[in-house]
Amino acid sequence: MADQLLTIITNELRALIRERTFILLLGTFFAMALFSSYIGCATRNTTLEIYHASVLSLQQAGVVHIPTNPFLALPPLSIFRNMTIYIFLIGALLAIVMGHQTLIRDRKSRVTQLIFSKSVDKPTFLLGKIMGLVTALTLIVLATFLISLVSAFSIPAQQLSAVAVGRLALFYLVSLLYLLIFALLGLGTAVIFDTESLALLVPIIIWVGVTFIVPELITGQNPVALLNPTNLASVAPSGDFFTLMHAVLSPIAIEQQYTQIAQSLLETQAPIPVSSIWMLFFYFALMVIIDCYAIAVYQITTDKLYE
Amino acid sequence: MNKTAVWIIAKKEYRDALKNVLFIVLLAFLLFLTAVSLSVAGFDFQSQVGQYHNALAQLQALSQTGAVLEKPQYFPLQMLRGTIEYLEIIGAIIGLILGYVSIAKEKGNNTLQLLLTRPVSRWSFIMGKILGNSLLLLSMLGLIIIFIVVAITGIGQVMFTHLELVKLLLAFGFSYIYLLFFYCLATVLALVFRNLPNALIFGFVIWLLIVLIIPQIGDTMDPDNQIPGGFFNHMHMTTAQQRGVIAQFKTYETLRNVLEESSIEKHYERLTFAVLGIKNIYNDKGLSLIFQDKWGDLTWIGSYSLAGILLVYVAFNNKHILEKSA
Repeated sequence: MADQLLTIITNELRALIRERTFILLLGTFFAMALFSSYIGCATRNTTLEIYHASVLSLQQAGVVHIPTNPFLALPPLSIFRNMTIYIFLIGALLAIVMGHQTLIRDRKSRVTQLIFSKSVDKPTFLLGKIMGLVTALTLIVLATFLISLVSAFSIPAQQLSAVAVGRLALFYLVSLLYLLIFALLGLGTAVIFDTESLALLVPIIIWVGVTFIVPELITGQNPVALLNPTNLASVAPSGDFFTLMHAVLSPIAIEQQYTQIAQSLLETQAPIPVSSIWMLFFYFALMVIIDCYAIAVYQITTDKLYE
Repeated sequence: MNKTAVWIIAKKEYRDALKNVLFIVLLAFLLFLTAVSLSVAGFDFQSQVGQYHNALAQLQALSQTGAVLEKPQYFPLQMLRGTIEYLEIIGAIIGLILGYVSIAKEKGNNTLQLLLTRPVSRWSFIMGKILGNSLLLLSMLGLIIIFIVVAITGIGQVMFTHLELVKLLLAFGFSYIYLLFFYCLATVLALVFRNLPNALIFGFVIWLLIVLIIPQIGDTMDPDNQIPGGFFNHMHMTTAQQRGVIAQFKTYETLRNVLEESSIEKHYERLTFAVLGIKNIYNDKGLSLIFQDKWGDLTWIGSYSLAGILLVYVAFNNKHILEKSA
């Protein structure tokens, strides 16, 4: 079984590298990871200069009580706060595509029939596919972590302490868990649906729902406003409707759980919301169960796939 | 160009899309999102009114007037911010899907090759496809307008003025131009790519960059967006003082603006937000004043869509299609 698993995992990694669309999405993701810290740093430096210019302007206008500098309280890791957005936008889409392609590829080329005619059983096949996804996403997240580290240290005057590096590593670990949920969702729909496009679109619609609709119902923030990390930090439900929505929808608001963890790690020194991490684990486990069920009822001999 | 052929292709496109479960699901999804955004805007306004009355009651209990408080004003078109943003995001996906399906079904059934053997010119085929899908997009937008009018006048008991109705129609007219760009984009990709799902994924990557990532970078670089409540509010600065300070950082602001302006989504947002009065400085203003300021954005989205149509023409190359299908 170990040999079979290793073969499936190796094959997954090889096949992924050959996929041009995957490489394109991965390239976009890495580019954004690289730019994220530079954008964050350039913005922070400029805003600091804007603060000093504002102080001068206020002093010239005769203002005596100048407000304190609001940027001094921001921890060094806040330059990575845009990464949270890129993870739940590009990263989640990348994960969906990976999960989707991992099974669609085999169904399309009728490799599944061939594999199951050998001594490979369904549990081994699924475990191999999931482990392949875990391995690929771990490598991607590890590379993104290294990109962030290198870019942070290459920025002049950007010092990250050992604790900060640890928090950054933890942020990427949580991000890996978040991405795996979407990868498994893509894998599950790739087993369930008979149409390739539908199998890709359904997880994308779910992703849109989780990323935009649920947070809007909970916070009252408009979809585009939710792409600004500052808005994410400032939102708080007000009024009976939003309080009710918060109570009802919080259990399925995984994007909110993820951003809460990310904010506590990158933008504050606050303790990490452990309940949110458990929530992500719960959804990961749920996706594994759904995938297991989908592969169990998958009819190998009558399988048909349309574009 | 054969007008009969154009009309036959357009009618077929329209009928096919209405039979397409995916399109119906996405349309229902968009209508649901419109309802969600209108409800959220309504509850948000209700919450603001509630907060105003609470603050007023507290002031009156202290024997003070409520003159210092600003009473929330209800403008029905301002309730459409969420709807426009969903059109930016989901509407663009629908445009992509329509463009993709429009070509994928022809390629899948090998009817594209068959059509090329008939006396149908390239322009007739393209214009038929674009006309059919334009009618579809306009029907979809029309349905959303009816939904909005019924929700706001029927449930909200607020009547639109004539000017507001014209502004609503104009905003949705611009939405059509915006969605047409994504339709053309997906059509081009589906024509060019041999592997159709790869065309769809590639379309989603472009959508992600144009609609979400580039505007997001511009937005997060905005100095005023760095802290909750706004930096200049925190500093208690007047608009003139803010402008004076920002003028000192011209290069940074130009870079930010260039990033935002490279995305059709930002032009569409600026234009529709101005027309609908979502941007406060344009609220309740006449159309001439709005277009005086926003003609540039209108030119941009028009140019993007026109470029999209031309790209479809270039991509619809008989030899290339036959080679790819082989």
